[in-house]
Amino acid sequence: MPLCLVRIDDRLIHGQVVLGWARALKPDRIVVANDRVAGNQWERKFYTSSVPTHIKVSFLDLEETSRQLLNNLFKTELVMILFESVKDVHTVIESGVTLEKINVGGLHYRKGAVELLPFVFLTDEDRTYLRELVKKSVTLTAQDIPGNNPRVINSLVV
Amino acid sequence: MVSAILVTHGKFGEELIATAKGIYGEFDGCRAVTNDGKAPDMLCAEIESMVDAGGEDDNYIVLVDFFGGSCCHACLMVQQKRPDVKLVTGVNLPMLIAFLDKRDKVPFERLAHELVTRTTRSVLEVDPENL
Repeated sequence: MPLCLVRIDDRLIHGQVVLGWARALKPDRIVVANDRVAGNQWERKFYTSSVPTHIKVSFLDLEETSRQLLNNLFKTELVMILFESVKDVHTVIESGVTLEKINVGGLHYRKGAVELLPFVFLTDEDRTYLRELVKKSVTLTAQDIPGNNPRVINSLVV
Repeated sequence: MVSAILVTHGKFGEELIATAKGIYGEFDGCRAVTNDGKAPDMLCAEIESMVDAGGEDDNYIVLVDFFGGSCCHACLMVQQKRPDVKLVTGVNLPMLIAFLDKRDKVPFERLAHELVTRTTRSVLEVDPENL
């Protein structure tokens, strides 16, 4: 699967993704990898209606995301994958998927989360998972929109 | 009373209210919420608590900046729990002025439609030869 972006963003599909990243990277398909949304028809409808019609949108649970990535099922399309949390990315990587680079695009304040950057707040649990991703040689890049400078945060999470 | 909650990116909602006060004069029943730095759950909770703070005679209309953004998503989540709350996208100055003008003059059930109609009519290419 040619992946143009693997992004962690607690808002999933929203303005920065559609107006920022999709306009810059021109994906054929946006994959929302999320157990809750995959099982919620209303949320699927809302997110689909936020995306221009020339971009296809898929909603996969984490198990199906791993299966499709492992079997390279999207190989003919340029794909952008969105995860809601560090935990979800970790689940997919634990199933054997290799991801080289992950964009940390938006993890906002939650109880127990500490600010790393204005758009990245991490809990102890997030840090534990991120450390494991770093061990697997994943490059973690914090960047909210394409026009802003990317910042590699590997050394900040270990 | 009919109140509006403006849910927007950045300071747009706050500034829109301040600007409208400069034109319309003082008013109440309008509050701004930004999504800046807020996780989706937090934004939903903030909007929900404003709506829940109202009494039985209070009605709320949420004016959100654009359809499809995280602000809009949060408002839709709130509306799932509170279907009595009305939601309109594309908030701008004409819409806010129309709200202030119409909130006591049209039945609440028709207010959202009225705002959309009035605001749509305010967006036009101006032909100076044919005013």
